[in-house]
Amino acid sequence: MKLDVFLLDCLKHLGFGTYLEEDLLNVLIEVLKNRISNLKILELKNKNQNKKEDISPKIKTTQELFKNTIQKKKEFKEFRDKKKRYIEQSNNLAKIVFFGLKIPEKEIQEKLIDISNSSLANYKYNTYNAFREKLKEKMK
Amino acid sequence: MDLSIDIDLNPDLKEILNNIGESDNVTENLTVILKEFIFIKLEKINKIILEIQEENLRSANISKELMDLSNYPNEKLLLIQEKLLKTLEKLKKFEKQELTEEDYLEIIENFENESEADDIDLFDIHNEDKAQQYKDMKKLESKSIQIYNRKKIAELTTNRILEALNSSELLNMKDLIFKLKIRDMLDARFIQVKLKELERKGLVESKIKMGKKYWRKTK
Repeated sequence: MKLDVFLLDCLKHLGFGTYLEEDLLNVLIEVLKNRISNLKILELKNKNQNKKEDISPKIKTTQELFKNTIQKKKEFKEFRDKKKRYIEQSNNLAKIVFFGLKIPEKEIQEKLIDISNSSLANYKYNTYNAFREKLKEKMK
Repeated sequence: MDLSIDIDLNPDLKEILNNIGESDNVTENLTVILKEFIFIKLEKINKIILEIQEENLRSANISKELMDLSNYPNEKLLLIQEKLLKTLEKLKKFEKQELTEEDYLEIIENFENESEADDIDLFDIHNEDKAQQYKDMKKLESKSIQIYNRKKIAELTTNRILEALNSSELLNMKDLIFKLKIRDMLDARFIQVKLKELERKGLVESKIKMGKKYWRKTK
């Protein structure tokens, strides 16, 4: 999927500016929240004016979308925490091995981080830093 | 010049995005959603700014000297508002495909600059709790000013004590506390010491009736 730099920049400035997915999810949640409240107001108005138009299925689908989005955000957060924990653990392990076997600390750290990353290979997440690198390559 | 970047977006996220935007084109959908998002945020910010201004006007009536009105509403909020409006304008341009190369160069420069995003924390208004906290903070500020003013009123001077005392009527400690609107017991203690001092100077005379001490101004 291709996305314009401008839209990426917008997302970055409207969000935390670290992870694309997180910023996008925050934007989606906010928009959905607003849509649900607007639809509910419209439903009430229709009831008061005795209009036959039924908005309840629309509200239901939006609410479902909202639930899905929040679930995704939770998953994303869990993944981030997991990743953080893995790196911390590997760092601690590296220190222990370093003192015990007297192997250069840097080497062990790199290897352990590689292992922790590969165990989380199923997860994908996009940082703006990665896009910045891609952009730099493109500009050359 | 093609300035789009390949992105490996989570398929679930893509689906949600397409469902919200009701189109097959991700770029189109995202533009619509971003616009909607900016409108929501602008509305919220305008509300907060208005509320703060109203609160300031109310508290400014209490004490004009203490309030520095130039600081309110918070500059940060105004900056965010300005930034949102700018982004909205650019989004409109993007939709009409009117973004020039210069615009893109500016965007790329900003995109490469890491500190740019940290300059203004837009999540202050993302989070409703934070916005509420901000409002509460402002309320607390105005309250503390009110309390300060009240304390100022209750400042105890020799003149105030003498004014409260009468030359014909005898007053005990309870009456004085009530007359001087004292709430703190330490202030009451302070008055007792002050009265002793005034008695020594001959400005006040005291009498003991039924084991209670009464004071009045000397004629």
